[in-house]
Amino acid sequence: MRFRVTGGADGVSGIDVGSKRYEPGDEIDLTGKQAEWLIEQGYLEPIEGSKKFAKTVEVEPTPVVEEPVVEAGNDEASADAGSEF
Amino acid sequence: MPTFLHGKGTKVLLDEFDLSGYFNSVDMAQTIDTAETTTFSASSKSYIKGLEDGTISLAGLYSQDTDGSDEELSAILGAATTPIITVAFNAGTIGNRCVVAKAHETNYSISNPVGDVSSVTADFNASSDATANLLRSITTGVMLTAGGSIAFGSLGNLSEVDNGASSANGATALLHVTANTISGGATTIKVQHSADNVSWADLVTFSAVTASTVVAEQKVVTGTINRYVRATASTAGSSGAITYNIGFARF
Repeated sequence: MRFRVTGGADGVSGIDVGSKRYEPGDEIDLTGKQAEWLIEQGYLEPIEGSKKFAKTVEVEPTPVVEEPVVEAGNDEASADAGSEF
Repeated sequence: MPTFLHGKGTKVLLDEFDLSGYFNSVDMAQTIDTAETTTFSASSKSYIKGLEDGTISLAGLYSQDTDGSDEELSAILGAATTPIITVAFNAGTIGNRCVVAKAHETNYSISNPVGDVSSVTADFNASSDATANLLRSITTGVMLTAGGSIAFGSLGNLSEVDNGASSANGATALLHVTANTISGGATTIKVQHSADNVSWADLVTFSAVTASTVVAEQKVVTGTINRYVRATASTAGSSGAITYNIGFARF
């Protein structure tokens, strides 16, 4: 996978991989595992059109809340019934 | 079996000067205020943490040398720029511990007894000086350098220091360039960090050290500091050598 060196938070941070130096703006080929922490911390960004970075995040399904069914007619009937006494 | 250290291996770096050869005693104290929160019905006292503070006291020999104890301790008393200090324990090995501080000199005394050597003492009070993100103005850390002279052609990555885990609250790095004969170009000194000890990213980039000058600088960074850190340097110079020291402390 191909990545671009972003410069990090200060915009000037380069990276070293093995004995090679990469400055902000340089492009680099790395495996997803090698690049993972550098991406998470903002030192690398995937280059558009290169093989997609394959980090997956498991998303919990949103729980469905079932609203209680209120039968308006019955409530009114009870209220009406109560008022008669 | 614990390993103990002898005090003779201590190194005292004050701004861009290695004053180890002038001092024979260093005392440091880190303190934190507490405020009592004990209430009725409590069976023991309770406290909450307050502000941190710290002091450093140096004692040694008086010298009229250029860049010696008297010249430097006099110069920083009341100086506009707050001095930075690194005291390295068992200095000379990367990863050994140190105390780093930004501190005002509050006392400088000279003693001249008729029957003994002239001596000096100096006291320092740690101060953040409202430096952004400097969570502690005096704290313990590790040395990222061995402190030896490195020829211009031998600069590069120094050995890494393994913290065992990453940390989340930033860090401070103190650079003391105590000797520099590199000519023909500036030298760039950095601290890098790594999560895997394979790929490294620049964490701190100090101001370029111009040819044949000595400097000191403190930098503060925020956020994640990865498990491994190391010092690295490169130069555009074409001859000479440089002696630089970096004390590094995580918050």
